[in-house]
Parts: sequence; C-alpha cells; structure tokens
Amino acid sequence: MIACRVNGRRRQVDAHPMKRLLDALREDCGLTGTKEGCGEGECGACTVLVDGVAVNSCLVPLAHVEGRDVLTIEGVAGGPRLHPLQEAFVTHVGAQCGICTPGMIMSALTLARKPRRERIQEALAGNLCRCTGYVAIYKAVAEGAGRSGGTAKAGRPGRAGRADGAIRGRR
Amino acid sequence: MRTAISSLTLLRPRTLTEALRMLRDVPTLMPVAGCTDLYVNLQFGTTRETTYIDLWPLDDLRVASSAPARSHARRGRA
Repeated sequence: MIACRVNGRRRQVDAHPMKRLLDALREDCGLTGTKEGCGEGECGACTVLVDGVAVNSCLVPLAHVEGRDVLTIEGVAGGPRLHPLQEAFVTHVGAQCGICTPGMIMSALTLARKPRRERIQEALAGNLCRCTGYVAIYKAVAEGAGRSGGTAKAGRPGRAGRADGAIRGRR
Repeated sequence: MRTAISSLTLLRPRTLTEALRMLRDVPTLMPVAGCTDLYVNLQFGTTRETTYIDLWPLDDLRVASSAPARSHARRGRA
C-alpha cells in the first residue's frame, strides 16, 4: 500500500510498488486524463507534477511518490471552471487529437507568470505534438500562463526532483 | 509494457545500513534510484533482473560530492 496525495486528496494506493505511476493513476485511481504516448519517456504525454516538478509518469515507480503530492490534469481546474491554461488551449485551438494536451498543460504549469517565448519552448521541449504543431500551443501557453503562472514550483525540484532521470522541464 | 510487473520484487530498505546488509546477502540485487533506464528496458522487455533494491528514500545517499583525489557520498540532507 502506497500512501500519497493525489490532486489534494489523500490516497492509499493498493498496487505493486514497481507499477508505473502512470498505470497506478489510470487503473487504481481512475484518473485516465494522464495519457500514455511512447511509454519510454520521450513524448511527455504522461507528464504529471510530483511535489510541483514535472515528471514522466511512465518512468516513475509508484513507490517513489510515497508521501508526495501528485497533481494530474484532473486536479488542475480545482472546480467547475477551467483553469486559465485549459481555457487558453480551447481559445487558441491548441489541441487536435488531444493525446499530448494534458502533458502540455502539466508542463506549462511549471512556468512563472508571463513567461518569455524561449522559456515556454524550453518548458515544453519534452512534450511532443504530432498533429497540431506548436504555434497554437505556444500561444495558448503564453496567454494561459500569463494569467495563471506560478501554479507549480518552477525550477525548484522537491525531494523527488534531485536525481530522478524522469524529471522533466528545465535543463 | 512487455515486462510483467507482478514478476518483479522491490526491496525497500529504510536505512543505509539495512540497504548494505541486503546487498551483501543478495549479490544479484539491482540497485535503483531514478528509474529512467530501468523502465525503458522494462517497456522493451530487455531486463533480466527481477529483484531490485530501492535506494531512492535513503537520505544518507542524497548528497554526492567530489574532491580531486576522491569521491564520496556525504551524510545528511541536501
């Protein structure tokens, strides 16, 4: 049994400690908003935040989030209204097939308010999109982060962020 | 994923002493901390090891430092 906090709620996840965090979220927590793309840490579709740090959940064992805060796309809005980043993706049509969108938004949450274009490109460097293209996505992130930046602890890895190769984002 | 997770074992020592004892007693244990390479290999089904030891939670291994003539892990939190 692994105890952690998922989207602000305490959870006791009864699963194998080596189960991928991605699978534990989808199968054991019923949070299917986090998508599996490549399954090997290349595409960023499965990005979630662990203690405010973007990670590829396909490369993180469930055991490594024990006692930590996990934020998935389901926990971003925090209510019936969409998060500004989500609204901006709708406004700018930053999604086509949508598989990459949850990961894009989770990575964008690590940005500070009003990020420069270069910083957006850097933050999303590990998130691949193969149908929309990046122009609309960057526009959406610029607008959404401009209204909501600082949601995550940008550039301040928590304990989970010190050595894990799965950590995404700032390079 | 091509590797069945149910076939794997993860040992989770709480102290460095306990970890060293496990490694001494079971020489085939594969240490893991970050798991990037491991999960890529599990995904492709190319990993032979089935028993792992999780060094991630051990605070004693949180900090590494190096000097010209030596390299060592330092006790304590970063």
